[in-house]
Amino acid sequence: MAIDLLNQKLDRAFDHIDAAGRGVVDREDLLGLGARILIGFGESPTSVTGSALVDGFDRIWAELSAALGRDEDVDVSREDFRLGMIAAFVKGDRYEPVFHPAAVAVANLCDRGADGFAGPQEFRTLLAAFGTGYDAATAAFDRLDTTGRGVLTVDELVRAARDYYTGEDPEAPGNWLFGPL
Amino acid sequence: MNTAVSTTVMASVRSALRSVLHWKPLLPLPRRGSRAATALLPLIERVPAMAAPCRMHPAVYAIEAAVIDWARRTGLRADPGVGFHRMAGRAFAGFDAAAAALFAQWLTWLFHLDDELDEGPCPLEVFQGVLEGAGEHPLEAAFADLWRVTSARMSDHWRRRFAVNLQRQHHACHTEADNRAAGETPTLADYPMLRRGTVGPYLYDLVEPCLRVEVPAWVHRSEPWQELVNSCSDITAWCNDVASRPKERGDGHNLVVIAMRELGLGERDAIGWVLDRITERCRDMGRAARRLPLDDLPPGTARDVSKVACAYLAAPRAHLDWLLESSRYA
Repeated sequence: MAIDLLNQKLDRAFDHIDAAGRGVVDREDLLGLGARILIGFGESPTSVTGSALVDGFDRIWAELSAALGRDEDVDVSREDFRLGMIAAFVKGDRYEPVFHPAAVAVANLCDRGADGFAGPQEFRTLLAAFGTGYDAATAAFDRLDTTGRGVLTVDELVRAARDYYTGEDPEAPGNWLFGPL
Repeated sequence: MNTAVSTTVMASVRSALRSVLHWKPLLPLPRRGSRAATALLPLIERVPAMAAPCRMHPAVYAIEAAVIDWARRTGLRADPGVGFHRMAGRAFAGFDAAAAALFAQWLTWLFHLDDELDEGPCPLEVFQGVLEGAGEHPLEAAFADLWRVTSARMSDHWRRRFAVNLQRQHHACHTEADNRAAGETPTLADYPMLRRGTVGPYLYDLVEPCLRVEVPAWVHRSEPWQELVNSCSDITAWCNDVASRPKERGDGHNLVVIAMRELGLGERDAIGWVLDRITERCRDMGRAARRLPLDDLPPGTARDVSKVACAYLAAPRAHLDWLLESSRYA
């Protein structure tokens, strides 16, 4: 049951990267997602946050490829994506040193006021880059905003990313990071 | 030392050497750029979008080799101290080496053209030859070679856009030549538009074939996209003006020189004024990127368009790093 949930989330993560619907993803697809996120916020890859995001995505791809025992320029199928993500970031120990900094960089992009908070507009801008529609993004925001303050903290976003990409708890709010499953 | 220890030591030395050789291209070169370029350093503190250095392409040596080989075949020089491969290696650090090599070849061609226009015996005739494809200058053969590779995968629309922008550069260079002959210089109000022409506006069109994508025509025509390209062009051109001014020996087609004359500023204050304008244009560029109509595009196309836009957003810092290390204006 729990592994089904994780696979379902990872399948959606694969679809986030495979924007062209090729059925396989490569490093440029992941960097393309990074570029789409940056442009949504008007952020340069040569700002401090932008640079952290690009480096973070690059390292995620390197770890994924390493977990699959492949060169970084080889395409990855949906099935292998699941296997690699679980090996590197769920069962392996690469989440903290590799995935977490990338999640922090993405969450920091949403903190436009540099006050540690992300409002619904910034959250929708972020989710639009992943291909999530307005209604699903609003539903996701409401579910993640557990205190009902109308804003999310950067830390809450980072925790939600960990729940989403590695968690097997069906009750975790982070399962809703990209809207209803 | 016994054999096992000796083997281990040698393996370690080899490993260390490999590591050094691998990382060497990723390190910045010593600053061999013009002293004037160091006046741009405050931008790193003032402009958030220029705060982090560009990554260097891991295959920068292969890119350099590809440029040298191509330049030899076409009869152009590829001065290693100028380092166009390093500018392209930064702008296309996240993409395949072929993308960066193609862009570096175009940069090599463009700067040869620039030199020919500044110093050649019959400058505008060379340009005419490129436009008509009738002459025998190495620049024409090099252009034909690059055009064949570059245009093959692009639409007729993109080709027309490139041709129009080539013509724009021709007109702008003509205007500059007329100004020089008449002893005139442009005003602060007129200069930005003229400079967008002389800088080679097709350079910005080349990002698409290098990345093997094409921005839809309606997006390219949209106001945010035009503002994105124009602001990127202004920033890099004006940074170039600051770095190249001493080498240009008082030529009036330079934003620092025009600011000194028109605003009555000393050199230091004029450079400060130009840096303020560059800072403003960097803000304009970020705002324009945010307004791009990405939500109106299919997801795959939005990603492709974002890659091109990201290359523009990275260009000012890539260009600055190059100005600081390149011998071109030293």
